Amino acid sequence: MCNEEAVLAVKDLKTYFYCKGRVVKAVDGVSIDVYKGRITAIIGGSGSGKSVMSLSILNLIDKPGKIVDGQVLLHGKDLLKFSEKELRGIRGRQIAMIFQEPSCALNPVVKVKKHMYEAVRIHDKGARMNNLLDGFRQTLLRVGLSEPDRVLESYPFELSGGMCQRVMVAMGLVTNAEVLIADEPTSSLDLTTQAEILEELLRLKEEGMAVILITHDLGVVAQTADDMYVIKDGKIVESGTVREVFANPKNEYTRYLMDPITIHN
Amino acid sequence: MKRLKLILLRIVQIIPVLLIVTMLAFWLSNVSAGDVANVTLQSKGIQPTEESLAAIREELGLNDPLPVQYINWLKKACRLDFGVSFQTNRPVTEEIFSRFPATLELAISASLLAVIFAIPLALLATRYRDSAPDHVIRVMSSIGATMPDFWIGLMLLYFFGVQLKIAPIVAGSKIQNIFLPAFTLSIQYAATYTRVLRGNLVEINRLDYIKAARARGLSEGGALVKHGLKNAILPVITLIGVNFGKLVGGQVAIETIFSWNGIGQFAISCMKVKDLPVIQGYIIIVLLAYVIVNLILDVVYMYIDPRIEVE
Ligand SMILES: Nc1ncnc2c1ncn2[C@@H]1O[C@H](COP(=O)(O)OP(=O)(O)OP(=O)(O)O)[C@@H](O)[C@H]1O
Ligand SMILES: [Mg+2]
Repeated sequence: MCNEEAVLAVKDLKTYFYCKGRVVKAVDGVSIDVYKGRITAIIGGSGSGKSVMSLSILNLIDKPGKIVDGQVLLHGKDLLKFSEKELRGIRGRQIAMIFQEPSCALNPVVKVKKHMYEAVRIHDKGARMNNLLDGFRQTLLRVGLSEPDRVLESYPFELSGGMCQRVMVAMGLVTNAEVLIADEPTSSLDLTTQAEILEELLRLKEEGMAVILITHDLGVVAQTADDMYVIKDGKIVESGTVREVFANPKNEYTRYLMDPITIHN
Repeated sequence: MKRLKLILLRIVQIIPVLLIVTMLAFWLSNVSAGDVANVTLQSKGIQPTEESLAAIREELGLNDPLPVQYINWLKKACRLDFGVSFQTNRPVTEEIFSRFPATLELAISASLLAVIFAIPLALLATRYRDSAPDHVIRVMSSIGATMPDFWIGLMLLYFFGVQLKIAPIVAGSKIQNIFLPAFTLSIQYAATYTRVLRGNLVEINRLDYIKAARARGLSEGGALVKHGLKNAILPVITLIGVNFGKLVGGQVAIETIFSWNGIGQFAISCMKVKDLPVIQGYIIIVLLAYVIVNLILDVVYMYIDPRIEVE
């Protein structure tokens, strides 16, 4: 897809859940390459393993789940071999993640400004809230929150779902990570706001960030992504540049995603 | 502003509680009104006869209609005047206030100690759930919750006092003296709070916002402390308030073991001889302490959880 070296390369990743004597192979041999200055889309239906894959990249899988095999190479170094302490230095600083369910991913009893402050402060012990507030306001404006001061002083439970989602995106931006994993960052937004957020992702890509965009919306992929992977039941069934795949979808599932109605009839 | 309104609302809600309890306390004296006249006479060393009983009834206002008697009694109670103890002939307030502060001190220390022990233990158990530390803490809290406090007290006293000669066996009012009785009392509550907190923390640990905090680079323990604790501790605050009611009434066994001059023993001895003015005063003072502490806890709760709404 690209001649350059991948910033992040996932190789044959397998994450299984062991529940009640059953094994759920949520991610079952996924390999993807993510490049600087490109948006890599992961597309698949509900339960196909997209969120589990993102958490696996950060090595954040808890029991009963386990990463049983594979590599997550950041600049060629395998994160799965890192110690917990080393990983903490990577999480949020080099790889930031925007969670899928914004209202669940923000602590209801902690103010937005404290959330944003924490994101910065974890990796920069010298950071002071007062010096950061201006930057936070700018970031919130960038993601389309027109009253940044009110939002900063609000608790997440006082904001709408869409506003929380934009706060989540803003938090992904404040740390200037190299890789941004955006798990369905526009799922609960109206079309205008969705366009704004995607615009912001495109800008980040121009600035050189590597973006993983997880979505079930092929329209979004077509508009923004450079590379794409189609995932089904924990396996990659199709991959290539967006142009290639759209022009010539090889897998039946991809064709189904592209035109579910015609195929059904 | 919202918080101020809520606090005012809570204060207003206390008024009916106070009224009902004072009525009950007053009624208590009334069910045994015959006794009151009798006992009062006896405590003055006068032989009860028809005339002397009638006279003392008149003097104490026992012939007035009940509501009038209640109002008169309440007026005095508001000035913390509960009359004179039948048993000792000293003012009730004096008797109570010579003992109640020690009880209050003990109740507050025990409540605080219970939380101070429970928080790190619950965090530890959650962080290492289903492995050794969690199992050890679980067993410890089961034992702590079921062992009778007087037994713990005796063991501690024997161990520290007799064997190690550290704690003075006869208590005074110094910190080192309050530690053993407060610690003894706190154990069962520490055990309960640890279990409640651990349960809540394990639940919360599954939530996305803890994962998200870790994805920002916080350690699992850090995420639990910074994001889990605030949410998990809320039900414990309610429990502290409820249990404070039990503690502040006095602890006969612990007071005896540690020679702690609290209200518990005195209240029991007064109940034995039907020293009604003291019992009434005791009920009201204990209630006031309970209500005030719960009000403070309500305020703490509000500052931790901004989601509380004014209806
Ligand atoms: N904690 C867990 N315990 C057990 N199974 C899990 C757990 N988390 C995820 N799974 C399973 O892993 C599979 C993949 O889930 P995942 O959340 O990655 O799907 P997804 O592609 O993100 O779906 P969606 O589009 O609905 O977000 C599902 O079958 C799910 O049941
Ligand atoms: Mg998902």
